[in-house]
Amino acid sequence: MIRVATDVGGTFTDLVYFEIDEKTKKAKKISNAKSDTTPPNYEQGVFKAIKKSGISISEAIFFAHGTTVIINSITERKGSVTGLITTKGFRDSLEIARGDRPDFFNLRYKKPKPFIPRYLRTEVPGRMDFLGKEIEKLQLNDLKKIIKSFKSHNVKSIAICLLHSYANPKHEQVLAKKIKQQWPEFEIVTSSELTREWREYERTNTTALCAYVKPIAKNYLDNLFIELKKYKFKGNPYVMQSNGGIDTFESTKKTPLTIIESGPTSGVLGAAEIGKLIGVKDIIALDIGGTTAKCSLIEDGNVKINTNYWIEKNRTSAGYPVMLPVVDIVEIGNGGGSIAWVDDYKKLHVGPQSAGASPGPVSYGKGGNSITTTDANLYTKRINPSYFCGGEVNADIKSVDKHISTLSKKLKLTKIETARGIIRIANNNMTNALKLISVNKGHDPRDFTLVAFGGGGGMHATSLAMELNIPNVIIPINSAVFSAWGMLMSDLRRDFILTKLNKMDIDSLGSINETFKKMETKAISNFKKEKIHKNLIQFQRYASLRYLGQDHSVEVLLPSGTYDKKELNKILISFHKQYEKEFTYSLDNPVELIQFHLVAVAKIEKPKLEKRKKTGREVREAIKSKRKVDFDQLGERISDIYDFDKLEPNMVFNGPAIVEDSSTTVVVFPGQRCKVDDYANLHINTQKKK
Amino acid sequence: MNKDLHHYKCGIDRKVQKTDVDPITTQIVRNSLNSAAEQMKRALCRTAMSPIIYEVLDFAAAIYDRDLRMLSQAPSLPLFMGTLNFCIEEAVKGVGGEENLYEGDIIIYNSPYGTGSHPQDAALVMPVFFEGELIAYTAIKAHWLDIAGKEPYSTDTVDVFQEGTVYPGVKLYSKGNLVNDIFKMCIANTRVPNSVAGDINAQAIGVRTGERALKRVVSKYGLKKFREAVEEIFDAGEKIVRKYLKDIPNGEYFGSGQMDNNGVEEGSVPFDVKVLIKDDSVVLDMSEAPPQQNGPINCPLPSTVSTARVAMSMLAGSNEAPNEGFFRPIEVITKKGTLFHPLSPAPCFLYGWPALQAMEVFYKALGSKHPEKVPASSGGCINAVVYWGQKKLTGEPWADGSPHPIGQGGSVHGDGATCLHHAESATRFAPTEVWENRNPWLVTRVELIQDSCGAGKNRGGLGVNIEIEMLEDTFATTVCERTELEPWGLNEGREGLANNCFLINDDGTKKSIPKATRVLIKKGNKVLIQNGGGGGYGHPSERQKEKVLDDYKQEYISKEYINKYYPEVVLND
Repeated sequence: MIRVATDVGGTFTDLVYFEIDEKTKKAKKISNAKSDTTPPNYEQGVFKAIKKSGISISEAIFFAHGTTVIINSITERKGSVTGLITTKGFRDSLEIARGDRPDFFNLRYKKPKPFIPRYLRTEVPGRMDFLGKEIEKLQLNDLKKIIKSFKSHNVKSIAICLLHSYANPKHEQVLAKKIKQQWPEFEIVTSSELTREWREYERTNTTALCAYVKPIAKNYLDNLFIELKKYKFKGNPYVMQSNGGIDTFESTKKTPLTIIESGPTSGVLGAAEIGKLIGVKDIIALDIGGTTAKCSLIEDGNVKINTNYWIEKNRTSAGYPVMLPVVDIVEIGNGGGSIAWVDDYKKLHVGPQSAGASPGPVSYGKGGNSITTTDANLYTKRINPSYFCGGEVNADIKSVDKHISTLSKKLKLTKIETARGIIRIANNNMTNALKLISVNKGHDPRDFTLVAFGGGGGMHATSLAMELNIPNVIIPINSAVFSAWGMLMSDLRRDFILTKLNKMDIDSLGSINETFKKMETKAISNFKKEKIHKNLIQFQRYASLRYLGQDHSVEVLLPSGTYDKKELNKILISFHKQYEKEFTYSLDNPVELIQFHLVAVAKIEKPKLEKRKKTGREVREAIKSKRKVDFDQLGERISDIYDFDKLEPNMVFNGPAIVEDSSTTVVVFPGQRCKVDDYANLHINTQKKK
Repeated sequence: MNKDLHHYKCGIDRKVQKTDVDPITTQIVRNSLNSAAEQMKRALCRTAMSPIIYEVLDFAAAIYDRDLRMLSQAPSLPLFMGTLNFCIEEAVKGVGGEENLYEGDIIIYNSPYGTGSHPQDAALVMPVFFEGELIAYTAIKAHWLDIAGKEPYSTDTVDVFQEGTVYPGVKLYSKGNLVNDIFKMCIANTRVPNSVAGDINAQAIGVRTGERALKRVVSKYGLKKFREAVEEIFDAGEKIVRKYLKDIPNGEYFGSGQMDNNGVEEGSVPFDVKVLIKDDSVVLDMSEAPPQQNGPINCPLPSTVSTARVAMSMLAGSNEAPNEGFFRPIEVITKKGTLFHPLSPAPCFLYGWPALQAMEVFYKALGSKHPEKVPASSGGCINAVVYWGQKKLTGEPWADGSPHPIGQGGSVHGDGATCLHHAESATRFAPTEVWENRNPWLVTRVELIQDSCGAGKNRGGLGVNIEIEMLEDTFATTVCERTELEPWGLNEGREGLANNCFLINDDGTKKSIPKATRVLIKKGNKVLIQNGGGGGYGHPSERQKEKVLDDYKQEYISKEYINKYYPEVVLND
């Protein structure tokens, strides 16, 4: 039996598979294969990887798929020509946006260009009010003219977003139905099938982006499905979603924007799953890749989801909102390939520009001449120069030396000071990102464990933990293919969100109970269409609550069932408590519910990780060599180099040390202590021995 | 020297002469200081009660050293940013000087002639102690929804006492404990006590967050190294602005602006500025301004200085967060008793409007000879409207208000952007769906105004019409400036559409109400805010034909507009 996860990245398509012992259901062996990504026919890359791995897809009992196809179509502006139909008076919402200029001292600021140009943004009369009451009838007299104009501009896909449709989607549904009947050649996305959350600019943009990628996504998933069937895959394939769950191809094709962040999400989910396995519930997950570092906070085992996600948003651009449930990730332009540079005023910066895969860091010897974080790690010998990229690449030390020298002259520092400086600045950038998800939201890092993965996770995690006083760091086994592991640990998940204001008092209990019940009924019928029985479905209820008059809310986990006065009080108490944790105070004011959030999960059978065998080897037998490593302020120290593959449960050793395998480097600082657990995850205690 | 003339050097020099700190540490201290200010901002926004703070970002949050030099500030309302050193100085004076400061104190201060603002903009100032020594201040000045002026918002005050309650520098927290008497006074002197109580709380959380974050930075590097790094940071900031100024030839540059009226009397109020560039420094001379006015358009000195600081930081330092060093090359000259240096108790409720206009007039002055250095005029105002009333169903009072975005001016770098703020950069435009939930009204359109852009090689950005129908009787105060002085073009670029504000009765008749206090808008009547477009840059005949045609395709401009400004472009449809 095998379980397969494939991940289409920008450059490579990865495949990871677990061979499962039929009796114990445990994962016996984890293997992977890599192929080039093959745009525009991405499914070919997937099958190349399958071929390379040698597995027979007909034996697979599970196939999960993650993909960057959606986000790439958006960032490369390769979606379909899309038209918008909106409420009269509001076609410019997409262009006016929120009118803010994040780069607020820049008089030359350019606003992000809307994905639908003004001549394809059309209006129809008809109006709902904020309670969902119709105050003007929908008038479709102009629809023919609109469609004619769309056709003349080669529009393939139509986004429909009307004012207050979160409160009443009727007009959107009527409009969509009419177009489907008369002009079935168009793809259509209505805002209300994506989300029932208020704020028209955010919702319109989300609908526009979804319509923009729908034809491509549909085509791609259809082709992939046909190929899978050709290879006699018998199961139901799934796609990784941005909400931390997986979903069927059928459901994904309707609103494919939900897979926009499938890659980063599965890594966070993997960290939560590792935590469950070894009994760690409060986690900061950190994924350091080639161009970015991403982090997310997991509290009490729960991955945090929110709908305030923006793409292409940074210090100099307002970006574009995606109002869909996405795992709450902070991402910064700081990875192994991030370029170190000195500005006109002699200040050193690292990132956000990256050397990418080509030419890559200077040390790759492929003509790169910009020093990167990886080069600095190599220069300080944290990375093994004679085992670079698992021995596949001869590190070009000479070029690194030359280009570090150039930087150091600009900074008036020595070369080693410059290399240390690059690492310190990179760490400082990442520390600030980690503060955003922890300290700034009322969480004390000392209460958390840092689970670090991705190519650079082990290299930086231990010093970041020291900086933030995080007592323990875990570098998980297979940390290089960690995202795929997360994908195989996911359940089928759908989020239903509804903005509907209710005062949190006894008079509103009826309305609150009824709303949740209706949402649950809808979720069951939603799954039923794909033959998923209601007995398999578990619900989690959340509500966004706020003090009356305030804008800011906190999402509170609610019990199931029907609420009475007693339950209401319990909910209020947990709201006050959670609010105080996040905002440092609570108030006596009345409380208002603004948003219902129902999570429907259908459990899926998962592989279990097998423990690493003990051979009785002594810890010193795992040492493969010694070398001098530079530990910045602690100086250059002769360090033991451990072979990750030879470590066994319960082994303990102290820094200064480096743990290596072909794809991972873990830096253990002097004074830190590393312990190997039953699964060969590394636990590093960062608290200095007194 | 005329004794009425006032010379103000905008930046303070080095305090530690010899420094020996490595550039990496300096860079990390810089990032950490910016991050500390950002944390203050986030704490304030997360906890504030009123949308004027968390959506409009009508506040500034910053950290100053003991000598009142700006260490860092968070992206928020730029015009507030350059006033905070005055606020801190006066707040500390108010409680009797440094020797009366203790750890955990928070001072409240809002005297208009010390803050530069109207009384609604109240500052909370917290001294920061490190190992028992006073080392710095954190401060947040934020707009309260109401502070018991004669109206929630006024355009017709005749002295500063009509404009709201004044807190002359008193301790709101003493050694960490709330001074309840003062707090009760604050809550008693407002029409919206819940909102103000919440916002005071949020401001206190904000300054404390900054205090903690700053202490973490200092304790990491030690006070000596920290102070040395700070000197390096200021020096680097200074170089950025000096480098920009050096590229402008020495000389005197003149510009003039014009306020539509002073709020209580008919007739426009023109003013002149002189910009003097000498090598790598600049003098902004406002001393020719008209005498202080009987209406509230007087701009107290701190905001005049802030205008100069912001204008130069924006021109010179894109992509960098300003600090004290940025201000060192700048000097401001004012004359006491004038529009830009009024004396108490002259009314100053609308102080921000001359300040915002002055910024663009500085650019106009430089642009008269070096148009490539500056942008053309933006729509030129924030077109603020404040509404209030009593909800029919519940009887509860409500109030809301917002500035509105305008088109930006074209420049040598390209077309002006559509619907942004000029100086209130970070302000977010409120969603209609949230607005209609909150207030008894119906937004009937939010749409770009065709032909509102100034023509040119690079055209201005478009303005926007916002039309709201009242579902219940509502009062409004409107402040739309620049309804007469059109957004100017540069280098032969053309003017954009000027601002205005209209009351539309249900019979369709229209009345212009650009600057009016407590206007009754009856149920069923509408208010239309016409937010202007930006001026163009360069002669229209130099605009690429494809760009003109695309503007037409997008319906940004009409056939008539093309005939008028781009007659050489022929439409074939």
